[in-house]
Formats: sequence, C-alpha cells, structure tokens
Amino acid sequence: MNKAPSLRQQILATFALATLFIAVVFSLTTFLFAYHIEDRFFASQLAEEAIMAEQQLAAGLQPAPRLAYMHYYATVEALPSGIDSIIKRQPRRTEFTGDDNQHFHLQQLSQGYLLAEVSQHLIVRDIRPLMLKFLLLELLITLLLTSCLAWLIARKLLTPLQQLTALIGNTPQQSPPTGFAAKFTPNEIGQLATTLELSWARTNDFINREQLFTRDLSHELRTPVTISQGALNLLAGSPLSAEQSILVNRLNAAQQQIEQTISSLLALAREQSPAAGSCQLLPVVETSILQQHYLLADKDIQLELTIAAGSRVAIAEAPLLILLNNLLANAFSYTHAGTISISYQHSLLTVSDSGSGIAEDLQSQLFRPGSKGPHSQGQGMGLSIVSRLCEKWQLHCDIQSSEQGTRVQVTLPQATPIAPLA
Amino acid sequence: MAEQPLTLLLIEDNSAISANIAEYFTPRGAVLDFARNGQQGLQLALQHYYDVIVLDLMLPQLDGLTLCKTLRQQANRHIPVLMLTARDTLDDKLAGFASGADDYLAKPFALSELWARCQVLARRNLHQPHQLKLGGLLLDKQRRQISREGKMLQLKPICWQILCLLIEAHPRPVSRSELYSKIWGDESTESDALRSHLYQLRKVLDKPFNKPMLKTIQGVGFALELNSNE
Repeated sequence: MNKAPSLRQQILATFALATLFIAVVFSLTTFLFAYHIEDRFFASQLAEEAIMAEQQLAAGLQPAPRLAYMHYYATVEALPSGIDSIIKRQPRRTEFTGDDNQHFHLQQLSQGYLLAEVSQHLIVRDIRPLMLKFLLLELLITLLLTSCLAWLIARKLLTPLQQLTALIGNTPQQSPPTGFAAKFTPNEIGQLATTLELSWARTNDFINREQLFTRDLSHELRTPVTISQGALNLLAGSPLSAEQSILVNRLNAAQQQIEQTISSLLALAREQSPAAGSCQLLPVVETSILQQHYLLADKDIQLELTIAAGSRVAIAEAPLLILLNNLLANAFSYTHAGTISISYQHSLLTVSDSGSGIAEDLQSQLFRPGSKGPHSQGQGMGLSIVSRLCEKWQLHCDIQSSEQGTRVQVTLPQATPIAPLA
Repeated sequence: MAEQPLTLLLIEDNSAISANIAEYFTPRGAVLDFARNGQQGLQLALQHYYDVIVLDLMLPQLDGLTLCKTLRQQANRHIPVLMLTARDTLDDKLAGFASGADDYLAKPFALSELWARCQVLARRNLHQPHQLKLGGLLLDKQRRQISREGKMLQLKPICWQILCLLIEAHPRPVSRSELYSKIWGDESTESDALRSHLYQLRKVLDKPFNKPMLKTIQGVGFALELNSNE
C-alpha cells in the first residue's frame, strides 16, 4: 500500500496554500484600488477644467487649461497620433497609453477635446516596486504565523490520535487494555476511543466464549473417545478369533477417524493460529500415510513418494499432521485403483491421484462444507476442511481435477535449515 | 530379591477410564489406588507412598492444577505427576507444567503409551519382562536371543534392533524415518542401508517359515503381522 501524506503535512499544506491564495487576492485588490483612486483623481481634475473650457468656448475664446499637463484640441485629427484612430473606433474611451511611457486621460467637450498627459503624475507606477516588496514581506510574516497556527492545531488534534494508535499497536493480542477511553477528552477522538474499547471488549468476550466452548467441547468429545480407545486397546490385546480381529480393526479405523475429525474441527474452531514452528516433512508424511493406510486396504493402488529426506517446512508438526491426514484421507478414499503420488518441490506439496476426478458440477462448490461426490461415503467435508485449514493458517491451496484424476497443491514454505552447532 | 511393584495413584473422576487403566496396568505388575475427586486424591497422595500419580485435569471439588500446586507445596518429597487432560492447546500444556506436572498426556491416548510414561517417571523399568512374546516370536533381551516357533533366529546387530523396535511398537506400524532416526540418529547413512538390512531380516525371520511376518505398508512403514490364531 502506498503511504499517503500524513495528516500533519496535509493540515500544514492546506493552511499555507490558503494563506498564499488570500495574499495574492489581497495584493491584486490593493493594486486595483490604488489604480482606481488615481484614475478618479485625474478624471475629477479633467471635469473641473472641462467646466472652465466650456465657459471659454461659450465666450468664443480658445480654451486654455490652467494645469500645465492639460491641452485643448479642437478636432479629433489634432489629437496626438495614435489617439485619433482609437477614438474613431472607440468614441467612449477616455484612457490611452502612448509612446515613451506616456499616459493620457481624455475628456470630450462640446467642441473639441481636453487631453491630460499624466505620466509625470502617476504615483502608483512609482511606488509599485515598494508596494510589491511590502506585500511580499506581509505574505511571509502571515505565512509564518499561519504555519505556526497550523502546527499547533495539528498537534492538538493528532497527539491523542497518536496516543490511541500507540496504545493499540503496543497492546498484546492476549491482554487488550480496558478503561483507556476515559483518558481521552470526550470529543470525536474520545468517541473513537470509546467505540474501540467497546468493540475490543466484545471481541474479547467472543474469544473467551470460543475458548470456553472449544475447551468444553474438547473435554466432552475426548472423554468418551478415551474410554473407547482404552477398551479397544484392551480388546486388541486379548485373544481374538479371525472374525473378531476384523471387527476390532474396523472399530480401530473408526476410532482413528473420530480422533482425526475432533482434532481437525477443534483446530478450525479455535481463534488462535498454531504456534510458529518447523519440522521435517518426510517423517510427518510417512506417519500420516501409516495412519491413513487402512483406507487403501484391498485396493490396487501404487503409492509414489518424492520428498527429499532433509526437507524442512515452516509449520509445526501437529498442525501439519492434521492437514496431511485430511488431505491424504481424501485422496485415499476417493481413488479406487491406479497411482497416488505425493511430492514436495519448490515449496509445493502436491498430492495427485489417478482417480475418477471430481464431477464438473461439484468443482465450483468444492470448498463448501457438505459437497459430496456420487461415490463419497464421508460427510462430504474432506476438501472443505483442507481448504479451511489452509485459509486459517495462510497456506495457499489449489485443486485441479479432470477425468484423469485430482491434484491438490498446498504451498508449504521451506524452513531455514538448522545451523550445525559450532 | 523380588522387585517391588509399581505403586500408582490414579486421580480420575471417570470410572470407565479408570477401569481401562487398571485392567491394562494390573497384569503388568502395578498396584493402583483410585481417587474420584481432587480432595480425596490430595489426601491419599499426602498420606501414602506412590511411585507415580496420574492426575486428571478436570476434577470435582479440587481441580488438577490446584491439586498439583498444593501437592508440590505440602509433600515432603517430589512425587512424579503425569497430567491427563482432554485439553490440548499449548496454553493448557504450559499451565500444566507451570503447576508442577512432570509429564502431560492428552486424551485420547494409547494405554501402552501411558504405561511407558509412568515407568519412565518412576525411573524404574518394572516388570519389563526380559522375555517378550508376540505371536510365534519370543524375545529374550537379557540373553539377546530371539526365536520364532521355537527356532532360534541368528540376527546381525542392526536387524536385531529393527525387530526389537517393531515388536515394541506392535501393533502400530513404524515408519522408515522413525527406523532411521532410532537406529542411526542424526548420522547420515546410505539411502539403501535400511533396504539391505530389511532384506537380511526377512531372510532370517520369514524365509524359513510358511507365512511372512514382516509386512511393508505402502513402502513407507513396517509392521509385524500376526496370524489370527497367534
């Protein structure tokens, strides 16, 4: 995930940009206002002179303005070059820029024009660099002040948020804190802390209930299984006829299946993931094959095992055995003749069989509990348990099936080999 | 001098489990006392001498963890305690050991494993008969002799070891990896070593007789197969 800019940076940037924008608008307005005042000053001077000129014209005299920078022109053509042509196009225009920084204001009379060349009297043009410097200085000071303000606001807002994050981050999962929400000011962050504390407490209650439930379940299921296992041990050790031996073997197989199902379902029900660990893969696979081999009795099946003797995988032995028992029980049950191969290469444990494959309409529902093929004698949960165990223990599981057979691949990361003692 | 029997206190509230254990242990020379609740168990443990205490975790009146802690505080010697429980999480095991248990066995368990662990805890190899009979096989560990149907088998050391392991594990099959690790430990051996020893073993154990005993299971494990009348 790309890391977004921090809230502190965002608050600082927003304040700085807003200050910059306001400063530019303010500067433009100041200049606009200054130019407007200046223009109004020249316009009022011209208006005063125009009254005088009209009186002179009425008396049949040539108007003679009192101010040295104003001149009277009797016709358009008499106006300085450039202005006459603009007036012909835009007769209402009163302000013109001429050559050599000249600047004109024009007032039309009943006869002729009064023209003021004001370039020597433009105050704003003269003080413009000074005004710019002043505005820039003002901008820098304002920017500094608003940045300080932004930093203070960010700190006030973010400090409790950082405290909350640290509290959550440093808390071990097994013992979540209680009563922390009361330490926060009851504003929006205080509300967040209260909500977190409540949901934390709910999750904790849920985990406690789950632990009590699985503990009770484990006890209630395992006690009768222990009794039947003990009785079977005693029975198997007593003299038995051939028929009785077959029955005892059948009971032993069922006993093993019950034990396996209890371990698998309890492993799935528990919130807790198995403790990290590593183990040698081959002995565990061999143990699992030996525990499941009763499923292959009386079947013409060739078992191919391709696992290097020293391969270590990064998963503890107990959960690995639960996973393998489910995986192999499934393959052994649904293959009636042919080959079953178990291999481990490039961190991939592959179990493939030459069975009849999984019906096409079942393949999309493989991971749903209760999916069953037409020849299945189980509860239809084998592959569902495999996939759920993989999901819980974050192992990738892939199942391919065709008429030629089924291939299940589980990614088992290799464990770092144990360094020999020096 | 006759060896004293192994004395064992079984604190377990489930009478069927107690009966199974008693039926397995008594013929092997153990003398058992029973307690059905924690309080009674603690009293017996403090009043009498036992080689081992087998203690269930969930008990009426006084639970197994508290019992074990109290026993450690009050007993004037260290009595080996094996904790039996239907709980199997790591936390449960750690809590068991923290309360002072010496060993921990999760239910369901094989009675043979419980027997073996009790003997280890008592630091005694009681009533481990020097002679062990399995079907037509008669193993005499002391004399280092083995016979099948009365006929003495001449075995080389590794073949002897393999056969002893298979007899002791019976009826559980023993995997290839388990045989390698128990015979050669961590030493690296040739991959064909086991195959040639098994060939030698078969030549002596099975070839002269009508029915082979040594059975290969799916190429990954081995077990001894007895005739139904054996």
